[in-house]
Amino acid sequence: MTKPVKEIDLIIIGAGPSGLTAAIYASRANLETLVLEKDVIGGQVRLSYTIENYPGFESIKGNELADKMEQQAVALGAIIDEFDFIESVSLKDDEKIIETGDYIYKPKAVIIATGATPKKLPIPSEKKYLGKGIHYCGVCDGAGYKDEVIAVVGGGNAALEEAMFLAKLAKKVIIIRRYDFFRGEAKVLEAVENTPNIEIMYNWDLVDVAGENFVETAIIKNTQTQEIKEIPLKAVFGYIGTEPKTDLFKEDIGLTDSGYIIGNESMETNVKGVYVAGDVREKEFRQITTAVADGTIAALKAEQYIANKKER
Amino acid sequence: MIKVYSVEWCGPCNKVKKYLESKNIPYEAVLVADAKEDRDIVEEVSGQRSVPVTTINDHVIIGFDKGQIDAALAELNH
Repeated sequence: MTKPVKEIDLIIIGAGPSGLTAAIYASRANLETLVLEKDVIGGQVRLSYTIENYPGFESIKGNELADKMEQQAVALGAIIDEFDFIESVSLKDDEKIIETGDYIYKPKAVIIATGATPKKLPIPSEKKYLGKGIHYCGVCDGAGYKDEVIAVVGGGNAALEEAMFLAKLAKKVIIIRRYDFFRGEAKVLEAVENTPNIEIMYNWDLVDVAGENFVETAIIKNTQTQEIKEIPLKAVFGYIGTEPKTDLFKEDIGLTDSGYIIGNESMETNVKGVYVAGDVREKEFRQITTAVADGTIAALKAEQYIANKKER
Repeated sequence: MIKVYSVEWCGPCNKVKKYLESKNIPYEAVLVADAKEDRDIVEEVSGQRSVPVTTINDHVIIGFDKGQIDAALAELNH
């Protein structure tokens, strides 16, 4: 059976903050807009416990902020489809084709806002213990470790904030940090340091985990002295950064060596009518605020592009 | 009977529920956040501790996996 072909103004791939912002702007410009999302609407925001650096909200739960952004985009007319997955993509200057499980879409313009996904912990037993003591979502899986000793690995805001969240449930949270400093905000670090049941282990790196069926110990190595020791714990939550989701685009779109999409200040990629926004774009700072800024610019540029096309 | 073991604020858990609802498929949501004993059910059912876990007859599906859910549902209808 051949799939129905649908022509549409704009397809936004990804419904995180940048994709949803682009959807808000595009819908307000009366562009027929479809947002495709494979994972969760709201992206990494929905997986965060609290957000405290998004203007307008002193502190807001990640899922609440995600809901607000989603509701605003939908109220303005954007359609978000989170169950029809993309199978292939062909993005050329003169024609863009996105084939999903149900349709063949031919959009006039495309915004890639697929974001980034948490990096897996680079330890030999990662796969063996995934879900059995190796986790990447505190708000999802933290409750399984109530009153236990657990660890968080990482050095950015995500690691610090997750440690704060997990400390409400766990007996003790150990932050394993390979350097003697954190990259996260000073205010968050201060809050972590003032939490009695969080212990920071500076200059230690996670080497592996071990246990019979579930994680029972972490094997850590001192990055200064090379000393190796085991600490008993029940789980390790990894927050060691993210990697871009760009597999679908590597044929058509210019990427950096690490797989991020190269876009200019106007969010233009190497293909006319294809824009990039959010964490998937090569840039220095990846914040919710920078993602929504990208999404704004990408949508405004897409609007211009579509208007010029119609005039011709 | 279809069961979704989940916690309220977990995105992937809600996505599983939304997907079943979009297909008008009834399910029982088992909330596992409150007590440690509740959480042990997840381990018992799936051999691991991540949520969501969806059980459809003999199928145990970890995370939101549309392909696996569809395959298990197709079997259910036969």
